[in-house]
Amino acid sequence: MQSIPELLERALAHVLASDSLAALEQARVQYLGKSGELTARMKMLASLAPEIKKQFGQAVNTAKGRIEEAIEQRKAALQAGARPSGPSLDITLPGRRRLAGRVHPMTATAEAMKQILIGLGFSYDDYPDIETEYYNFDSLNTPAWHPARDLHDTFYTDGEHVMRTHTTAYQARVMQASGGQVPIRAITTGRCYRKDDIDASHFPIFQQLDAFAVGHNITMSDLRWTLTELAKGLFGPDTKLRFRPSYFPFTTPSAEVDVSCVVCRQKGCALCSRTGWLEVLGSGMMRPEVLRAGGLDPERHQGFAFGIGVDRVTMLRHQINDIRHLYQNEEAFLRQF
Amino acid sequence: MIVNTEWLLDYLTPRVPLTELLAALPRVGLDVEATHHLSGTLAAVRVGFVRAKRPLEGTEGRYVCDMEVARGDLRQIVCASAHPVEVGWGVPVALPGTELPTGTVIHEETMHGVLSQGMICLDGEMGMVAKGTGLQVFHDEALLGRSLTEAIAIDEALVHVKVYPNRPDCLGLIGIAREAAAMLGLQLVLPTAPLPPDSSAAAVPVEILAPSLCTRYTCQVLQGVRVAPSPAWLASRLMAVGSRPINNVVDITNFTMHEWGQPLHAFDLHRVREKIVVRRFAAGESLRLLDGRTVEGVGDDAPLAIADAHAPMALAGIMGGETSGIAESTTDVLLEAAHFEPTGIRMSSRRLGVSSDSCYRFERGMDPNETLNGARYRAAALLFSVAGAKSAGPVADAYPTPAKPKVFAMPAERVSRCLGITVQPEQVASCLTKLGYRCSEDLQRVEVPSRRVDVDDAVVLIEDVARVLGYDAITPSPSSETPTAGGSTALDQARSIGRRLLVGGGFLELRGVPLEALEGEALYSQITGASVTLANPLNADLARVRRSLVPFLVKTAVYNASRRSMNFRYFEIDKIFSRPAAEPEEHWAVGILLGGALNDADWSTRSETDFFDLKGVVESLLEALRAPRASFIPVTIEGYAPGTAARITVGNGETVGVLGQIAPETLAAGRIQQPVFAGELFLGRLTEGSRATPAFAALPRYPAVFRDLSFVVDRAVAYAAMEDAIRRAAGPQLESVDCMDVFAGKGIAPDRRSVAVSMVFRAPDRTLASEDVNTAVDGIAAQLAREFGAEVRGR
Repeated sequence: MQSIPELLERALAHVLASDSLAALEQARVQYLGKSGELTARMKMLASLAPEIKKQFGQAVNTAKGRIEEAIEQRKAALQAGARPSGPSLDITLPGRRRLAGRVHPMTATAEAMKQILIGLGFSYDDYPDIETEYYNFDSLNTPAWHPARDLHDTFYTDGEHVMRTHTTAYQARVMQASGGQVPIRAITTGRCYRKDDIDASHFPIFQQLDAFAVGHNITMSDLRWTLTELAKGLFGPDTKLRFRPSYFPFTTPSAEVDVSCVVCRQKGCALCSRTGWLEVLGSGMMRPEVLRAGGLDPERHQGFAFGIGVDRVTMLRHQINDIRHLYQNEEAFLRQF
Repeated sequence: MIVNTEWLLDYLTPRVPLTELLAALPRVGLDVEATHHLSGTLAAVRVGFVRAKRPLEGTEGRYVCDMEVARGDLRQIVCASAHPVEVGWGVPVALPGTELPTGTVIHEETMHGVLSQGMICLDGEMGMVAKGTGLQVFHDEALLGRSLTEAIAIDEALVHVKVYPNRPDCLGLIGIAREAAAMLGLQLVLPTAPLPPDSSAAAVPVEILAPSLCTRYTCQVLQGVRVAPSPAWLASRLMAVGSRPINNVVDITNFTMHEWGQPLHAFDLHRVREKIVVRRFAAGESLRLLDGRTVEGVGDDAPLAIADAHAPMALAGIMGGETSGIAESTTDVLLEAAHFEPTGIRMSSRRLGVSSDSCYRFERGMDPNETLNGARYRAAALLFSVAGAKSAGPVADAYPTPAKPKVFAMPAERVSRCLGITVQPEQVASCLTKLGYRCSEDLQRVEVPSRRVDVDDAVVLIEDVARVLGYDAITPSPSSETPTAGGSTALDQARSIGRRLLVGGGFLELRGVPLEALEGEALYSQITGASVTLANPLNADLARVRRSLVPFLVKTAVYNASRRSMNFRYFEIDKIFSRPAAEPEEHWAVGILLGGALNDADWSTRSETDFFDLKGVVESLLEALRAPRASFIPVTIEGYAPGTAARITVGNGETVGVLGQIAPETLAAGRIQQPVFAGELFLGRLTEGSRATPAFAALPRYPAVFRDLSFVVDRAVAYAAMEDAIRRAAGPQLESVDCMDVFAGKGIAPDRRSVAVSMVFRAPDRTLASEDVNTAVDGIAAQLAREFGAEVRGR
């Protein structure tokens, strides 16, 4: 026996192909008449088991409805006098729907930065959250007893590892994997962990995005260009950048980078403490020790690196005033982005 | 470190406006954490007049003053400071609630049974460098109740700067002034230190027995000192930068440390027996420190002591002993200026848990040469001019291996190559010379000043040139380096695919916390191996690295339920962790949670989500990732309601995830009554398909034949087994098979159910005849009858 959908399809085609009222009537009889094809199935219904009766019956009824509707429409068209009436539908009742899904604003921010940097020639990959002290510190010119280790309050695991305190830990891994082939342009993003007490601007877990480029001719001017492109892409084409001397054990020269305030456009507001500038990232030229740890030769190779707090940039982009919102996941918060 | 700008300007000429000086500090590379312009913060301090004063009972030298702080407004204020006040004087008064620039907040308080309703402020207490006697005194009654900033012009700021660990030379005002002078093109003015007259006093001999820990030790005897409170100018400066004045001798060493950065120590000469010996604590030796703690010598790497002929007197570079320091009776001082190796100081400090301003500086690295000398000269001179010293002995100086100057070559091309801008040789020479480097004509020999302990590589010189030029000189320009094509990984693609699909399905992405409490280790977890725990957690709630994403999803559902959001559609994409062997393992996962109404807006056909809604999402996700056909195998997992949990496997039986219904009792505790479903897919095992570039398969050219069938089988027969049997029996022309209805009840035996399927048959090369399909359907019916005792209905 032909299945109902197949029958329906055939009947609808037949109706549509009928080019006179007589032909149309003929079609009606063929399917819906006393001994019509669909009528036959309807008769069969009585003999069916209850469990398929319901489902089968529904299908037959739906098919019947649609054929009748098609015949009415065709009839109207053939009579060449279209009547405008239809079933009454209150189109102002709300649609049956789900609220739209949302990407978390931190993901959106990290993805935006990632896409800009991929466009500038950087390759993305992921690296471990649970790191060795070597990659997290030693390879980055921060040996044990170095006062700079005080800058990061570190979580130690029960084994020989630390929870990475910055995504910068990936640098030596990337360079070692490259086998000395330059240029390398690499980015990563992920969770970082520092033993900070929780308040409006600190959380023991945060997200960083790190980038570095190394080759024969990669300069600080290049770093400034890359960061300018990134800042414009992220905050708008009018964004200005300011470099200030700073200190990171793994870069020299080092620069703290400020962007022109995203809210007041340097007119002065509470967000930028009326300075017109917002501190967003740390950067610099990679230290010789770091290049050596990655198997490169600081006499021939040089490169830049920078690291951005994704939490902070997210908060700036959306003017979120408390970092805890980012991890609380209240629906009223998530639906805003 | 707190910097008072007026004090800093003592070392610079010509004098520059405050704004210019403040603008130079970030260019130096100092992290300016806060700048308090005193003219602003002191506006709240007002001029009050002393109307009466009487001694405070039970104290010496303290008074209770009746102060008129506004016309007719009398307050009782206890005057606790060393400075005398007289009836009729107008003085600065801070009333309760006022915050002074030094951070002190004024409260009403009771002293010796007397309520004090404010504070009479010395210059130093307000962060100011002393003007005159250290207390502002007014006689013009018209100033009564007026703001201090109306009474006098104040053009000072207190700047809180963080000196990065690489620049200990900036832990003294002279160091900062030297840098500011280079940035602003000013002259550095060092304090004049007239040499004290010779004395017949013999030098105290010095022996360094641990030269790897102590590079240089110098000391000098100063005789005839009178220990007393410091004069106003000295006390106010210390107060202004947050240091409490103690007595003139100790204050001189603290003042000099703040000025030069070099820590000094003053011993009472009469406590020093015969000589100074710089050595480690011997086993069994102990010393009680100024802060009351006791240091004991144990083992080979015992801390370094400054000892006399018999016993340790101080924990070298960190803290003096309780008994060897300056007392009121002290007349002769042994002034120490020494240099200790940073690592040794740091290790001792860490091991003993003792720190101090002195330790902070030594562990970062001090200058053993000019700075050390300058500080000792300065302190000695101050002991004469301030503390009444009458004579000074010769300087004992043990410096077994004088530090050799570091030398680097820094041709201009090297600077240009790194910065990416053209820098001329003259510019390099000029910048470096301003910072105290000595450069040869050709820049092949650049000698580093010994205070710059951070210069361990030529690259630091490049930074120094850039700082003096100003970072704005580094203009942006794209690389001349070979371009590279950017890109991402298959895993990253898989994450994007998953995220897009779920967001499109109305799911909210969460950002979880990867650390969790130790209990509930097995909850929802399907990864093998022990948990990774933290050795030094912040608190018990953040002690383990999570091994499933589901607990946080559940926690979030409970949180939002308490805010009346009851339709849960959440997901998170992140790592989960375990330690199956020595090395910890990290797996990327996507966690999904679903519960509540199927739609958020629905006025006609409200329906609740059930297990198959979640399973459908999981199946869509697998399909989007082009995963091989998945099997769902019943399992028992803690946290999921019994009989609802399934392990998801693909291909060779590899587990790629789990799903199930969250145990209702877990939710009831969080006041959620409705069923909630959750699952987790291990994305890392599903990346293969996300990168595939599919090859085109020819579109079907012949029509399909549709057949619906209904089987009545025992309830225990799983649908998957039936579908599997249908596929096996149908042969290659079966294109698809879908379950379209399941029914149990009226007309069906109680232990059986009816399962209806709809099938599509098609051949690639011809239109299938009815007979072909009938044969296949017969085969299917026979197979199911044989395997499961199925009876076929509806044919």
